[in-house]
Amino acid sequence: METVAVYFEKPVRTYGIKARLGNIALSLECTADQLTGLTATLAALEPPLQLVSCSLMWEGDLALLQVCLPQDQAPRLEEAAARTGVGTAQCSQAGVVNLQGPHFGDRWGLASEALCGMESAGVEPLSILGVTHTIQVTLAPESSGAALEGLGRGFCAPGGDNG
Amino acid sequence: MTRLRITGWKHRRELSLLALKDWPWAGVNTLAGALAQAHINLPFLLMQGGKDGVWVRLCLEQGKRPQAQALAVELAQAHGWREPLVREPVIALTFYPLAGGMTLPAEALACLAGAGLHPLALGTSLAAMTVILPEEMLPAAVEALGSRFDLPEGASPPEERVSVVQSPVKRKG
Repeated sequence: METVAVYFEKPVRTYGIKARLGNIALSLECTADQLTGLTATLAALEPPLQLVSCSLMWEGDLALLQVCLPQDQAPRLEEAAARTGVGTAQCSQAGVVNLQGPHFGDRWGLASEALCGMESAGVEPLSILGVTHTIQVTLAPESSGAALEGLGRGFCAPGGDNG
Repeated sequence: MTRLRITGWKHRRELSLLALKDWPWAGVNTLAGALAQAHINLPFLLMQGGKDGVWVRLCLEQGKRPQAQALAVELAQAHGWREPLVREPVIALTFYPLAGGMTLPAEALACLAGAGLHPLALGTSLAAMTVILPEEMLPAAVEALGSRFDLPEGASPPEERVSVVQSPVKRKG
């Protein structure tokens, strides 16, 4: 194991903290067979479906697929889901805040910092994803301002440009 | 069929997956704080809010799992929340680039499903996609994905072996 960097930062430096609005977060529940059909359909879509984020987990025999995408792309996903018999469990307008910084995927405490920021702002997100070097918070668009303020207590952007 | 072009993939082994169901956000926050206090990194994290609470999938080093599980169980028992479920060993298989589209996750899921494999979890970042699989599925997953993605024949994802140290003491100079 090679040690490539040593960090201790407060606040945690990021490459930038911005809220992206104008998205739809769709939650889909499907069986394994339905998921196979849906993903094959989505893989064949031309032009490809634009994406903000995608996540999947299983609960028993049900796959829970959450897809956040630009608003104008949502009808294409809903149509593909309907064609493959997949129901939409939840559909929400969504803002997205990405926190990205050096070695984010290898440093403890960053998820906690993000969750503390959200809690201190009184914001309950729709979802949080921590994958490789990005923490992505999906939330109701009207909460974006408060979320940026809360996250700004633990994270900073170059030049203090939080927002 | 044209093979899908990717520029890289890697895998990380010896991970544990903890699953929480219907926890409140405040409870998840408390657990994340306790894990941070214990210097436990979460190389993969997925939290999904729902009407009855938050569903969580988090990965951590297998060696840290007993400590993390004990922290989660302690919180669950103190507050009457569901206790965590554990799956191990699991791997995180990461692909680059995501390229801002649904093609990569859809192709990967379809391809794995075609081989009878279903990831335990999947998540995207700005630039990449990570799938969490039981460790024993790695060879089958590599074979299935290698047939769909444009990689040199026989290529296998390199193992990630990087350590980042966080010190509470700021070094001078």
